[in-house]
Amino acid sequence: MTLMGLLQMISRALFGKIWYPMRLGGVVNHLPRSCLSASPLFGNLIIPLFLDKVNAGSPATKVQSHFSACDTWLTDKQKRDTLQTLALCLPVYGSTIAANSARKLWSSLKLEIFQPTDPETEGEALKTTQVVIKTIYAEDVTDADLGGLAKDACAECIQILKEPEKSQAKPAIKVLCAFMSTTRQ
Amino acid sequence: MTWDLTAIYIASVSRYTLSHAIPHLTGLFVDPDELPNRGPVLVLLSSLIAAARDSTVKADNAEDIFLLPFKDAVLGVLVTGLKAQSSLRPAIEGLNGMVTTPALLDDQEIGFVVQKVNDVISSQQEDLLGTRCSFSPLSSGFSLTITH
Repeated sequence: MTLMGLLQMISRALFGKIWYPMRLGGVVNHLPRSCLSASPLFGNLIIPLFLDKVNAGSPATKVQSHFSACDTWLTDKQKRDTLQTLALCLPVYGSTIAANSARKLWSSLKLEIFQPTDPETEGEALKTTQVVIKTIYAEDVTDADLGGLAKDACAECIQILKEPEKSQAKPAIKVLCAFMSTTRQ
Repeated sequence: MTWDLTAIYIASVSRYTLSHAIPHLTGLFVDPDELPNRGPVLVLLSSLIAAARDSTVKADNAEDIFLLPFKDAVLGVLVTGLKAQSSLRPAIEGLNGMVTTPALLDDQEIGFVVQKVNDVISSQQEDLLGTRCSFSPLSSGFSLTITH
């Protein structure tokens, strides 16, 4: 079996039509997650799949859909699983791959934070954002040459904080607090 | 060892975030046009103070205490926030975050904070009767720091 074939099989198991019941999720998801985080070489192939999965149930696309309550619940659960898996895999994929996908990752995560479907998913998106930042800046960077996602996202949030009374200020400060908490051990 | 180094590098992100967010929020607070929004500004600021406190790697070096460069400005707006009913609670929460941050304030500054909070409690006894209970858990942080 080729590497691509193996990845397709794993991603079908994790993201495709097969959906494991929640009571088995913890056990069954462990194996695909271990596979997906087995090598940095998987990064460029799998990150787009992660993003597709997260975006599939985003508020923007949900407006167009006619999910039943059960389908919506499954989508949110799958989304949280995807975010958890992404958080597990990113440190393995490394800072270069994470930095290359930073814009797309932030766009997807931002949607879950600023237009959350539920508090749990919002929490997972914040945790994953922390992992993205930790992964990108895991290598030497000084205060002077800090750039990329941290700088752009920080500027974006501060722009939103110019209207502190608006509802969007709350998620913006959550993002900045999440950035602060990246140093927590 | 690897994780220790990572924490140091990531500290740049924390410092960068604070160095932009704190001046922005304190600037908003003192802006006369933003007077009605002082409460919401302090709510945001107190969240950031708590996050900065919780993310302090170690208090051995001054540069590891992320709030230190902004201490005076933040104390200034929080103490000012004590004077208005709309910003009183977030101001108390922010001060609580400051006094519970290890090695951020010296004894004299903690004494100053306690005096200001005490002045508010004394001068607004009647207004605060309804919120007295919510003061208690916050005051416990102050008490612990002072006895220490």
